[in-house]
Amino acid sequence: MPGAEQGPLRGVRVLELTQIIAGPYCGMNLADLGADVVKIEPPEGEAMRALGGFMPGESKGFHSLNRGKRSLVIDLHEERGRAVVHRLLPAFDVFVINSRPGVSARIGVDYETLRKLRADLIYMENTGYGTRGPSAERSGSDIIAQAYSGLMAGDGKVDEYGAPLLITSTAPADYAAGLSAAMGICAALYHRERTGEGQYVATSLLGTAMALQGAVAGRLPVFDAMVRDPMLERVNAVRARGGSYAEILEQRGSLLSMLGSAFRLYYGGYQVKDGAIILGALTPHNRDQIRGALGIDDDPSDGPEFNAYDPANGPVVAAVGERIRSVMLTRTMDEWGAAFDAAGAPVSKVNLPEEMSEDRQVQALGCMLELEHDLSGPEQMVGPPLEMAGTPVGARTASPPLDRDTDALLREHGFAADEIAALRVSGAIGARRSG
Amino acid sequence: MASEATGPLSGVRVLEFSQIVAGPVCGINLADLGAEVIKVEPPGGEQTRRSGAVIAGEGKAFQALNRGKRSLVTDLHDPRARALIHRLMPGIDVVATNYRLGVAERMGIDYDTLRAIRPDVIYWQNTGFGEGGPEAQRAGSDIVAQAYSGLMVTDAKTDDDGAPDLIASPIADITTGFAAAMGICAALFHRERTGEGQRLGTSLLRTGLFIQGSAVMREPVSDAVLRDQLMIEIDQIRASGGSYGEILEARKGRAALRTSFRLYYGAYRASDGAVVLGALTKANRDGMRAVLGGEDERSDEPDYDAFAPANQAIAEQWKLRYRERFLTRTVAEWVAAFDAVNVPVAPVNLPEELADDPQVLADGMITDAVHTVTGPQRLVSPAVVMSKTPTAVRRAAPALAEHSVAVLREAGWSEDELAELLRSGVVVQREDR
Repeated sequence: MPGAEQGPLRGVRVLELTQIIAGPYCGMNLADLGADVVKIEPPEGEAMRALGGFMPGESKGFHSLNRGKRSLVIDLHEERGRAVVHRLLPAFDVFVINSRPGVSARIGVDYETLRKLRADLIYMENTGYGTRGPSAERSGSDIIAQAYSGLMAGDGKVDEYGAPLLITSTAPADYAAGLSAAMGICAALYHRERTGEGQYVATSLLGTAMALQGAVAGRLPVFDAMVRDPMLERVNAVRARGGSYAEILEQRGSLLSMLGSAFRLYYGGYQVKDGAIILGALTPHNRDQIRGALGIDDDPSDGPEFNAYDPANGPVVAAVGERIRSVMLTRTMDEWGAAFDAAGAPVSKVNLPEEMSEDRQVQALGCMLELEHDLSGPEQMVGPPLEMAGTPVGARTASPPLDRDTDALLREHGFAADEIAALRVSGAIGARRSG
Repeated sequence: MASEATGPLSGVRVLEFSQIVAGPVCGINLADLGAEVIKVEPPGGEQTRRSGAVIAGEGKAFQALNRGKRSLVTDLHDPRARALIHRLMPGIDVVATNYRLGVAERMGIDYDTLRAIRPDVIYWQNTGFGEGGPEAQRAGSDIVAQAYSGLMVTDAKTDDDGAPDLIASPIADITTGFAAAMGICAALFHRERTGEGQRLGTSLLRTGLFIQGSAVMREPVSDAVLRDQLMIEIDQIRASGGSYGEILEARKGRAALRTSFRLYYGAYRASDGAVVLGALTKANRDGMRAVLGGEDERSDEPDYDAFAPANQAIAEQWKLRYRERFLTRTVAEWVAAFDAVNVPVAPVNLPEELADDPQVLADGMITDAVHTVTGPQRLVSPAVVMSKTPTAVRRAAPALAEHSVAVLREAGWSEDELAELLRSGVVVQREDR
């Protein structure tokens, strides 16, 4: 597995003050791309260390988001701790933070303060709701962004009590925000290389969650007049009489039904004899391939003149769906897989995330990195989302145990041994594992 | 407002050969960052133009996924069209493709061919399953990647028939587009420092795994407790021919270990809709307990064992109690009550109303634009805000073949040459330019 020492960002130094997912994920992408990433942690460790921890201070979530970084423990509530960060800062190209708006200024790491120490600094801030507006000060997390942005209602699933469900228990708004933040930083580095200028760069969970559903969240009046506006009128009528969430969803309908019936029948899941299979047709050609494998030679709902928005056509679609469902139940996953593959149609069985590390395709691609953690030993984690031929990306080290690199980093930046010792005694640096 | 090219990638020129979602999302990110993105389309237009279109060729999804680009229409099956692309190449910095393996070679737009013309080109190729391995030749789409990568079962949702239900937002596609744009920006930085171009690869499968990192990753110490037992159980269910639902139930049983966490990180029905709580810290949870009258709920005490069956039963009871309580007030009342103690809470909004939300508007998350054919529209703004090199929506999506002649004229084609290309049908230009 290539290490990131050859990555495109080699030589770039990043200081991150981040927590949970979005900020750490941004930093990990930069590390995968070859940057030297130093993670500032509070004396008790970043919060993610304790979420689902399997050893004190070590959780699978933390490991998966902080590989390739070094851990520097500083108490930023201490004046002396802040002085350490300010003394280190000139050596860093990029600063990444994802605290609530206002926090950075209180602990002396806001953009205005830090740019005075390094004029061409690239400063990345991720927030829940953005940095302006009535909700800017409110706290956010992935589930909040999913709910507020419409991702959750757009997905439209409810639990047995009629309450909304997460669209997925991975954190899509967080992950996408971390990727867009890393993208923005790379673009800012390119700009700095061309002009010498640094800058402030911002992302938010809300803004990114909206980017995940641009087609539904945007407005196109000629289209909206036909589909969106009448739907919202019905929804508002339900709301006016205090209707339930389920009733609201029912009035909204699903995204797929808006795309038309033929699309929905060939882009979705079906039960088969021994499990389930997914059809992923995007084109009329794909749908022909699937019908060929199913032995269905006509589908009255899949023609240019068929109006999927006409309620009178509902039973026609339902009848085709019923035919597909009953044919699907006659064979096993493997049998259908072979039949659809032979036809060239996009299909998949439904795998569990927990078994992907052993999947033959995943292994053939080298998607998993094998790393050794200082405390918990060998582990395999998902490597970077891209390969680069000229500047290989990857990671050489697992996530750091808390406080592992504090002394070494400070020495590297010119702190004398007795200064480091005094800072440790005062509590300005170093872990505190009380309670 | 469409704005002047002032983004960090101003001056960078991109040729995009792409379709559906992943490639186009990469392209809109580069355009938002200031690059000039030329989308090469076949004479009938990229197929997404027709998806849900109420005006022919101009569907809403296409417009959302292609804003900021220019449209050049030429038929790559014609050797003269390939010659045209090759003649454009010296002025192009980045090439983006997302075709099945082998298609780019057949069309003469593969990396080796194009870098012979422009040695420092940055070339990105996206595939469904990667470029090697037993599945490399298979067709991929977002739903296929969701299923194959395990994303689809992360919340174990099924339809009324018991079949797996997809995540409605194509998150494997979209995050792949973001990952690609990130890589291209890093490659531009590298090129600026060294003069070297290179080839980049992404796949829907790889990104599907990357956005659920801790579920896929293997950590033997932790897995011995939480993963390995589950897999034994599931293998037994599979061996006995169990249904998809039974497999999900087994996996859900493990997730139930997190019942106490989900008390404060989950959704509840209110008297008139639904509310979501998003606590990640003890301070957040204490604030929520105070609002909900849950001071006796003790899952944050240091000695609490979330794995103990008795504690799980108690957590289930709290869940029921909280559910009852939430039904007694409206969404607005609950949001106000939780806001008062400063903890993460949100109403469950519909995506279709976000363009009018006060917060969204105040933070500039919606941009107005005018489409050549369909008129005014409002788009989701770039995901990244930058102070010195503002990101911006440069323009609405192009009408089919809107910029063919302009692109070629700027690249040095003479009027005679253009007339011949149009006459022979090698290039198509929209009439009312």
